[in-house]
Amino acid sequence: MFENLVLAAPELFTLSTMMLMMVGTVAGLLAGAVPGFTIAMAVVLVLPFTFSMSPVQGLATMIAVYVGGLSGGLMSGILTGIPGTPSSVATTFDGYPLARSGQPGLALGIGVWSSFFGGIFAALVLMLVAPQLALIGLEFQPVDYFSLIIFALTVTASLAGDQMVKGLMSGLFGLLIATVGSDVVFGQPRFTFGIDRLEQGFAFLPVLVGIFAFGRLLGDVNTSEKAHQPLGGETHVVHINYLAAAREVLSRWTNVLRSSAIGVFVGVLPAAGSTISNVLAYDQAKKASKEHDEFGKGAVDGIIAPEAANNATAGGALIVMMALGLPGDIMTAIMLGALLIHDVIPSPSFITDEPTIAYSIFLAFFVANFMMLVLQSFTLRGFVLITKVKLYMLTGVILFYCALGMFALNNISWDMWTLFFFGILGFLMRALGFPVVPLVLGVVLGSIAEARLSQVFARSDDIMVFLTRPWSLFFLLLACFSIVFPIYQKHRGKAWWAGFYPSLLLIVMAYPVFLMPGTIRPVAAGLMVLAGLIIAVLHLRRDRTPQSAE
Amino acid sequence: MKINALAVKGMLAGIASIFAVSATPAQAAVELPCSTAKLIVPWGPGGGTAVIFGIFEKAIEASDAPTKIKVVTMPGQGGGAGAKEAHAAKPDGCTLFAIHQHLVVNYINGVTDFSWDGFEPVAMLTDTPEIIGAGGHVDYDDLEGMLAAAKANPGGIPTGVSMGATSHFLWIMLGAKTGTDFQYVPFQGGTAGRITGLLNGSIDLGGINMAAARTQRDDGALKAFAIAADERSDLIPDVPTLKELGVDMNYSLTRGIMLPKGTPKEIVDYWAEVFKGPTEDEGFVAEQAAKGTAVVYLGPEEYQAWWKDTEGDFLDAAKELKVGRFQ
Repeated sequence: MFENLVLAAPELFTLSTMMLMMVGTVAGLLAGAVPGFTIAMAVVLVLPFTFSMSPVQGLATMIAVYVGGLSGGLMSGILTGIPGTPSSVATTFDGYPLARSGQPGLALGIGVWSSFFGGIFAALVLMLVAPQLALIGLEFQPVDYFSLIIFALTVTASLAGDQMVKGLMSGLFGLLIATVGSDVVFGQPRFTFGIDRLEQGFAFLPVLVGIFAFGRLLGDVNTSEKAHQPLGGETHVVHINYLAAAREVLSRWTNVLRSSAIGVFVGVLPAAGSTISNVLAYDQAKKASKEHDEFGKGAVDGIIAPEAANNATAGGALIVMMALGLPGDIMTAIMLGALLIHDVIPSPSFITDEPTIAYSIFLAFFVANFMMLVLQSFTLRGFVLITKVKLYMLTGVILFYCALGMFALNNISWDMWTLFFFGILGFLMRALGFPVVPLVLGVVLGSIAEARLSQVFARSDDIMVFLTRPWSLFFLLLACFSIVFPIYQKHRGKAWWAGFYPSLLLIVMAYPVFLMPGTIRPVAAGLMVLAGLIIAVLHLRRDRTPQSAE
Repeated sequence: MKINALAVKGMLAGIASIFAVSATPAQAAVELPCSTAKLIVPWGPGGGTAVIFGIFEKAIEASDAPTKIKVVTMPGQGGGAGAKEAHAAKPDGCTLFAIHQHLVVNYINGVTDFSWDGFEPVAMLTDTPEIIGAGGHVDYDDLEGMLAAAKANPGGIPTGVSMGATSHFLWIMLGAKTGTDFQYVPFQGGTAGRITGLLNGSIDLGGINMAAARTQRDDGALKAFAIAADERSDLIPDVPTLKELGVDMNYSLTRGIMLPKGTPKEIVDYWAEVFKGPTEDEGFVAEQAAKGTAVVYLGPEEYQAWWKDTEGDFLDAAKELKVGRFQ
């Protein structure tokens, strides 16, 4: 491995490549920070320039844009409450409240460092176990995907918080919206009521931007008084204490590791990538945290989880692209196109056949994360100035960019109307106390779930495959535990039976893990059962000892 | 599909060298109302069509053509969304449409109510033959074995296709020629997803691209049974053609440029000349060849004739199998 790194280093560390990567990172940061501009757009814009570069140089530039974009989203997410990209939706849940409560510097610092650590984690995984990990991506058949999405949908229950019924309504409504338009298989129109325009359906990005950006801004400027206030309330200087933020993030290293691992895992699966991983990681952080009541009000863990996860997902997607030649998300799809132009074809033997290019990609991803860290601190200084802008001006500017970005995505003017309708819908839903995140999740996951399910049933009508395939069973069981989790959380430490939840979880989940191929996972299943039994026994013994503090 | 791609290529290379000098005068004759024309690609960024025309965009940018082009991707409805947009565009030469056989397939499936004749053909540019592929896990090792298995299990072999798209018609036509039928599993949205399906065993058969055929066969992850062209490819010389194996069929994705119906002939000829430029560049041809794509230039008249033949083939297969609007 080291000789390959030595081979790759002189390819990458040239003055021109470093300059291009810096420019790319800044471009990514800016595109990520502007709501409505997506990372994919930025990578597409860079693509033609890379035609005339060497493969290493072109790839390095695109990776820089990708990493910059993933981190740029946190700036607007934390300061304005509007996610700059779909990858930082969950960052707004706690980042914005923390910034509003007078600690924008801390919130931003934590976001930047979490992005960095998530990226570095993924870079290390990329270098050490890329081929092995990529094979896990190949184990996923349509059946398994569908179950994974069912599990992801159960996250709505915990995101809804106290508003359980309204949250579920919102999630189901999202699934319904995803069915409007052309059906995913044959392109037949449905739920269009004869309106030609509706055949385009509601693309998920305009829905997301409409709900989060337009809907939120409408609520922010609903009185003339509010509209004339600057975004940051009374002006105060935003000071970012990087050292304190880094210490804070490192002291919660379990969260960083867990979220990064979730990020890499989701990245390895060719699905919706960081759009899903940031929400999943947030949910897991909330479930694992002892102070879960703080979530939604400015919890530090609530910022760490999504930001570590979305940068780590990029690493996962790169693994699959290089080891299998398959794109995990739209960004890697474009990079793959760029590689093919140079007649470099990723495949299972790519890393051994083309070590210079492969290891340059690893290194570039590593370096891009450092560049992001340094350049972010500069762009942030400019970006925090927007907290001094009066809201009515900011609203106009943001809406302009959102509409522009949505149109530029697919060049379909209907997408701007989607943005408009869902902005109003988002405003009304917020006013009536409906959580909007489940709706967005429903729209994102609905069409993926449908496509996967149609693949399953095109082969056979037998629904038993959902239970006989290990990964599918794994996620369905996990979904069951996820659904009852809020009940467990309520009774934790109070009811006797609630103490068995962790051991039951471990023992039940061990079964599908045991069924998986190889030797490592069945052994891990044995350890899970053992751990589950130990926890159960400890719980029983603790129960027998009389409780002193009543 | 009756076009003998490689033979035409060789012939054209000869003709092109004679006429190369006469390219410039036609360009000066027309003045367009725009400095940059929009080239609608009806699929997503990063896809095969977008990449190929991205290279054309660069080449035209570098040429002395007074009007440049900009690729605009417009995915949706299996290419139908972009087709409708281009169909409705003003016929002033400022909106171009990048296209392959999906136009006829969209028509057959009722996605659009116009076929190729809703446009003015400008030029055929590239030709990418389809490769009949299979996952490494299947029992048979050649086309004969595959067809035998399909006959033993009619409509039972899971085959990944983009429903109602060109990758679907590959198998419909093969089925019509060989008396076989397959079980179609919807893998919408391109070759990459289909290849994943073949690798992980969720489907047995599917069309694969040159990149996969070149790199994924050594370790037995994929198999390639035949290439649907007149001659074997230099890149994968061990893969026989369908014709060698006794199936009289060619099938390739043939990409070209169209203009909205009613565009004046001078403008059509003007663009035909502009796009001809890159196809005569050796570097460009080599770059495409590495991806299994042959550069095949046909001017407006020949391209129109080609569309007529191609549509005939597709409609015959569709009527025979009663698919789409012929149900």
